[in-house]
Amino acid sequence: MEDAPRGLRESLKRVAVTLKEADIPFALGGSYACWARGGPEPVHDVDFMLREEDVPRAVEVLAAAGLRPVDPPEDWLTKVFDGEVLVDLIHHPVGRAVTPEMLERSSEMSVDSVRMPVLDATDWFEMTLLALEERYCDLARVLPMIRAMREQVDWDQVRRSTAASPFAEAALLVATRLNLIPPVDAAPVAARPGEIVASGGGIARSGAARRGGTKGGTAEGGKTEGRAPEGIGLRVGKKEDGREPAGQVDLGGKLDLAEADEYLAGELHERLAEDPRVAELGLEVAVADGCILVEGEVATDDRRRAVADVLAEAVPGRLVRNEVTVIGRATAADGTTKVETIS
Amino acid sequence: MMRIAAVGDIHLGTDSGGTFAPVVRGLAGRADVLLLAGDLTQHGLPAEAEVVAAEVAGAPLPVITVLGNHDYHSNAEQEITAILTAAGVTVLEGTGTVVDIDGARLGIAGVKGFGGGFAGASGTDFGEPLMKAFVRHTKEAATRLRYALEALDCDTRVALTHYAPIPDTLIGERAEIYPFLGSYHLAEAMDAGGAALALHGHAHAGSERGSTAGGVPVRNVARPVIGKPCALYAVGSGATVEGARMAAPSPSPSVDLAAPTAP
Ligand SMILES: [Fe+2]
Ligand SMILES: [Fe+2]
Repeated sequence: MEDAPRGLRESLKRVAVTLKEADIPFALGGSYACWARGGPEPVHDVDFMLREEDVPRAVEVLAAAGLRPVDPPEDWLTKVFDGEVLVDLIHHPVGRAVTPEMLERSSEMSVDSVRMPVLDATDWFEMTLLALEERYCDLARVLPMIRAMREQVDWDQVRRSTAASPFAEAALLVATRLNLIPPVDAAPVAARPGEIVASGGGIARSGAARRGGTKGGTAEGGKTEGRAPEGIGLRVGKKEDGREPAGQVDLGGKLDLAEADEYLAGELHERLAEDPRVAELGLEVAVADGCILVEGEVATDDRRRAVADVLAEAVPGRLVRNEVTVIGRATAADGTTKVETIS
Repeated sequence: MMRIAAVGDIHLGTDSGGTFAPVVRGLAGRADVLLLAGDLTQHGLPAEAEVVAAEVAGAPLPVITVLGNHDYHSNAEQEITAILTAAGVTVLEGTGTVVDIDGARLGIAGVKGFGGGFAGASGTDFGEPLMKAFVRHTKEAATRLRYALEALDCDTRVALTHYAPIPDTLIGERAEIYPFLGSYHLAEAMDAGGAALALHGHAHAGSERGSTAGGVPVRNVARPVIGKPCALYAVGSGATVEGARMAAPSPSPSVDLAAPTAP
């Protein structure tokens, strides 16, 4: 439509080159990442993914390159204008931090003849499907993207990490029934011996609301900025996928597995708050199909491991998906922090 | 103008050495005082307080803090206070301190605060002893904050708490847990005590800005909320007296750290 794409592509390349020259790690995200991977060309805006701690420096170098920064009220991205073109710098897509691992998974591709890292296709679909929500769940927009990128995606991974979202589940069901993507892998987690079956396939969850939980953009053109309500997070590293907890630990720490899922989710949430190894009140626990999902952010890798340990002791034998991310924190008060004058 | 750097909920663990010191050092010349809004530690362990102390020791500006619920978790709040105090940090709990900034006097009154909820949806001093103790702990904290604010002899007053005084800065948190995140009694105290600015933490998923019914600007400076190492605020107008020194805490030097269920 119109001549928007041309301007968008020029801005995309300008931003990518500027970030590359400044050695700021990033990945092209949003609908342009989909375009780079064979999807329809977007007509709206340009999205880059980068770590929160790199955002101030990115804004600084982009401003120096003549772009105009704006400070939006949203807490999960910032924006710069290149003339009329809006470029989003996203550090918390669907509520989760952009991690170094995520940026490392991206692949170097040529985008309109400029080489740049493009978000991994599996990550891309996790975000896009988690961005679907009650007001923005138009599968007519999602299906062409699935067609375009399907062979680049680990769909079992996408299914696992979006399991808590009914909208993602619906999109994946349609895609499966249309034979666009392979059916669910056999031997599902719910069939493990001794497991209680999730009541009605529902998902029970417990935990704090997440940052920016109810805010969000649109799923337009596959934008990743909308947030799935209470969305399940992104994977942290392939190594840990499907990892099982250690098994037998002392019986005193076990929880009653016959408990209804919502109580179990609540109890596990409390365990994580009360156990001295974690003591984290902001983690969210969901129990779905016999699988325990835990998400949220912790400051260090040790604490992330402690989450897995505590859950393994509380519900031995259960499959625990540890979707907790470790947030890299900027450790210097950067010069660009704005001073608010209180009058 | 007096420049305040503020952050809460840094949650340092024994593995966090070296993560906060650069933030503190970076404030040299950019802020006149650093206010920490509680939850300095992850589990309230003295060993963690030692890490915090090492990170802020030799800070290029006065560091003033309140403790948070995490800092009480191991029943070692007194020891933590002592460790921080030895490192030069002013720990406030129902007390205040005045910092002289090029002749302008910035007064900070602080208290951990507590939950209880907000007008129309709050706990009351009624029923079981535990419920009464809960609500009384909040009311006491609010009263002490008010007295500490009123006792400050200064040009500009700032209220520092861990728990939130208003629901506006909790937006993003689940409404069901608001009563565990703060209390309107704290806002009442801030209004009555003539605060020019109120800073709090605790609500990691909340929002940065709000204001009390009496018009006191409130900022939630929890680290995950501000999304940067610390927030910077400029308050008050310059005055004319000279000197830059840190006054002794006023008025009561004995830091009384009441446990939530203590009478
Ligand atoms: Fe906290
Ligand atoms: Fe807290």
